[in-house]
Amino acid sequence: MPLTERTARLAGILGYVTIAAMVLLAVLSAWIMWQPDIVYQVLLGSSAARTLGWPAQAGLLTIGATTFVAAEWTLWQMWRLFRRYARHEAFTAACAAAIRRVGYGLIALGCLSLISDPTLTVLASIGHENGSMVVSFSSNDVGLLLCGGLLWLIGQVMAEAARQAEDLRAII
Amino acid sequence: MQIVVRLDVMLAQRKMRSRELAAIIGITEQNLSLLKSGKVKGIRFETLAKICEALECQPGDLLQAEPE
Repeated sequence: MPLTERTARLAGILGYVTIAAMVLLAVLSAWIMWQPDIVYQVLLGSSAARTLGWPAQAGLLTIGATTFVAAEWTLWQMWRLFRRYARHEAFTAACAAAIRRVGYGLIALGCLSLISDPTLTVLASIGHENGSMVVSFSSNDVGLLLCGGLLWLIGQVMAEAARQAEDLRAII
Repeated sequence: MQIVVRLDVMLAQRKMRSRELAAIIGITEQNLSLLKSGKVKGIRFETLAKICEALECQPGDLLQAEPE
């Protein structure tokens, strides 16, 4: 069953938005790499963190790069899904797989966020003489995990629906 | 056992063309060809009834179980 023209058009627009988000994320990441002081200032609320040692810097870089790759991959999967919808392709195994992959991406981002936020705080606080360290979990991270799980489940259901639709097409 | 569709035999006996039957029962010639060649997973009772009505036959005249 093909999608309506309106839905396909909306999917096309969302596809362009996703590409824009991928480019924006890449530019932002490159800018942060160019001026890492900004990250330290945001994390610690002061410019005092510029004295970070190389292990802390390497840790921050690793976490940042991993999160960047996961986010870009998720956005790429979303773009692939929107492109299929824009071509009026909806109830197929390929679409179901794309939805599942977006779910995996969101779960990965949620897990990374859960791990990275406290780790970044710890890394950025290393070497500080005074003050206390606060490690916290955001409800946004849990929300991401739930969204990812939900999308994965929808992908599973869609795969089953696509299989049944394929069976129905073979019945005359 | 496998189910063999004997539609081509019935069409020959009734001296009816595939195109004509397809038009009567309201399916595409392509689907009728798939049905004739047995390259389908199943047939709806509705389609079977229409074919039987058009060819004036019973479902048993169209379908036959044969050992694989």
